[in-house]
Amino acid sequence: MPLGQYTPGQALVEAPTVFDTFTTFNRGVKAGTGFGAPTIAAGAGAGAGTLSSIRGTDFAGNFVINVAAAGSGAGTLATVTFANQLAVAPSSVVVSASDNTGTAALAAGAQTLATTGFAIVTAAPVAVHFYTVSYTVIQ
Amino acid sequence: MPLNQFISGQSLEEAQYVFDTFTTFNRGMKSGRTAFGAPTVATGVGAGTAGGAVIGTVTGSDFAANFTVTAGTTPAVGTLATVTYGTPLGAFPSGVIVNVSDNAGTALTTGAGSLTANGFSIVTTQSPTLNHVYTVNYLVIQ
Repeated sequence: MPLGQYTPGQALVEAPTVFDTFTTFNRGVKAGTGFGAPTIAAGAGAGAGTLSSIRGTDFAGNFVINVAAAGSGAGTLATVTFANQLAVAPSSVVVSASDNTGTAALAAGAQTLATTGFAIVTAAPVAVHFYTVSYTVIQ
Repeated sequence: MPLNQFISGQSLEEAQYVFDTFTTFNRGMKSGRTAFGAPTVATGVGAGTAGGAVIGTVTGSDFAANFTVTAGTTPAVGTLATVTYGTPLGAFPSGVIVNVSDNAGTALTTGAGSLTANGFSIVTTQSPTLNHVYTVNYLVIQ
């Protein structure tokens, strides 16, 4: 963790830590930004879609994808390439994709789970709609 | 945790910890994988009632995992699969998130149902397609 991101008063644990029983987070969990941001790319399912509002890390993030006017369909909406390659492929990647018009969520799932990233596969999105996509990666 | 899974240099915390403010994970979180026994995954009636439905390798743990389901004959809307924890939880989970996507390139609208301390079911509101392989990912928060 870069020292500039460490606030005195916080506990900084640099060693990998194994919690061997249930661990309780009363205020939730944050995705730290100390190790770089992943690279997001629009997939063929978005047509020549464009990306915006990319936030988060390899661990968890969200972004908005604007589906192109033509060429979109069921398939890979976007791909996520980790900033830092994992030691092993993730155990699980959960994703969601919701239409910013508020009409309906888009059925979505992660595939091609690899140490370098994953693909977000969806049912056919609506052309020229904006979708907010969120993901969480568990190694 | 079995001793043979403990790697020197790691910190092993066997006590229960409560973090009373936001806790930041700069490198993410790992599933404990099978340290406490792997979950058991079974096909549901939605994956096909007349045979042929198959569960692929389960990678992960009660906390988070992925596996594949191959739809058999007469798949339908409903329970695609059930997950039974390797170790029952102390209470019902707070949240279970699941996704199901077709390896042929689309996804099913999906949710987790029947949440108990022993496991949960994966329910789809769209019928799978015969002989298609579906990738399932889940995350359990107790």
